Amino acid sequence: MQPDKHPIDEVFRKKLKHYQVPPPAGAWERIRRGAAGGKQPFTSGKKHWIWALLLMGSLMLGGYYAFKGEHATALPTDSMAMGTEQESLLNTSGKSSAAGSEVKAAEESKVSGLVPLAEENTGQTKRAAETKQQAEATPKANPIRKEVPQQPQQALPETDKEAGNSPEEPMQQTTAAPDRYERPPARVRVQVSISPEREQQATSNAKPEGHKKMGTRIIWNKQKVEKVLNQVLYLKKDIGQ
Amino acid sequence: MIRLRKRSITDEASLIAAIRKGSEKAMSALYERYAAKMMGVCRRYLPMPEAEDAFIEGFQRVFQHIEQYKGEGSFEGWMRRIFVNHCLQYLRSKSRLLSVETEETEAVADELHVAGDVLAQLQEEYLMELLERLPKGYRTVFNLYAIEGFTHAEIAGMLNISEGTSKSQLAKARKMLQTWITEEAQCSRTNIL
Repeated sequence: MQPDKHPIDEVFRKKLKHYQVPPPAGAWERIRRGAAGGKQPFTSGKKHWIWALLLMGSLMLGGYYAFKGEHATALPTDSMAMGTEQESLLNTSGKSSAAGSEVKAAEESKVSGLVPLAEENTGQTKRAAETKQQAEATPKANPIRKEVPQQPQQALPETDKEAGNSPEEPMQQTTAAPDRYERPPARVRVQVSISPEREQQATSNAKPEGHKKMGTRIIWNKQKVEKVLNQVLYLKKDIGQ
Repeated sequence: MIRLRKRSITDEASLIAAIRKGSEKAMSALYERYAAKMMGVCRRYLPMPEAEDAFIEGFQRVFQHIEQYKGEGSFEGWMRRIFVNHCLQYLRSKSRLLSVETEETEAVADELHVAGDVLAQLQEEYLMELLERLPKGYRTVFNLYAIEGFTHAEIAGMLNISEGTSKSQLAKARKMLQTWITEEAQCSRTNIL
């Protein structure tokens, strides 16, 4: 409480206590900008930034998983350089209506045996052996399979000449093969062996110039490889392996 | 015809609540309501370029610390206190404040007396001019005591000076103001005659 009240004080208090001066132009904009830089709640601009960051994060995450999945399904290039270890040999025997097409040959021929050369690709040799034992314990009436004796697992030559085989002398081989592949091979070598009766039947049906001799072929096309593998699995089921 | 209703925030409590929620519209409304008054406060303590800066920074401080207003007393008084403190802080930070004389003088203002009718005829703008002509130390103490209503003890605490110094500054400010007002009154009488 002020003890003394001077007349000059009273005059100034009355006239200047609520004295008003118009604020300068542009002051509100400066205040608003300064308040936004302080501890104001989220403005719409900040919300947009958050949404943009979330969108970018989700896109990057999706892209990463997509790349990862693609990389996992893609075949490593160095696996192809592994040579015969990475190859799966499909030894089929049967009728081949179109000699130039490995897929059709596999479709129409009967499987005599599959030799997995790359156990790394399968990773399921134990399971294959079990299925083989089951198949032997419950043999089905398959004359072709009965004719095929088992041979030791070995790397097969690339051509018939190297193998010393001729189309008339079928090479028969029976092994167990996995039902599925953890890592599908980059290429498969298909060796088609055919019985003399079917060979004679095939050569009589096919045109002389279009006929290709049976033998070992290497399939590089990825789609064809998958087709052949599917056919092999199908034939394996068909013959009860 | 659809008549659109615009919700105007008139109640001060709802205005403060909206500002606390971050409503820019409410901030603008509060600015429109008190900008001229607070600019007047700043102008009493500071000359023009500095007064504008203090005005802007004062409003920013109000918006940033509005949660500290507990509803005790008027909101305008709370705002005014913020602006006054900011002006004093501005003077201190800029090393402009108060080459305050420490010697205590007796009240010399009582020697001069100005007629009441003369004082009543003084215009607000003229009084502002007189205030601006005062030295900064005198002006600050006179503002705080005569216009804001602080006691000498409060002023001593705010300016970090003694009460005697505050009284001395106030007395000198009064004397200067009375002198100027008397001279002005005499000049106006001479011109009339």
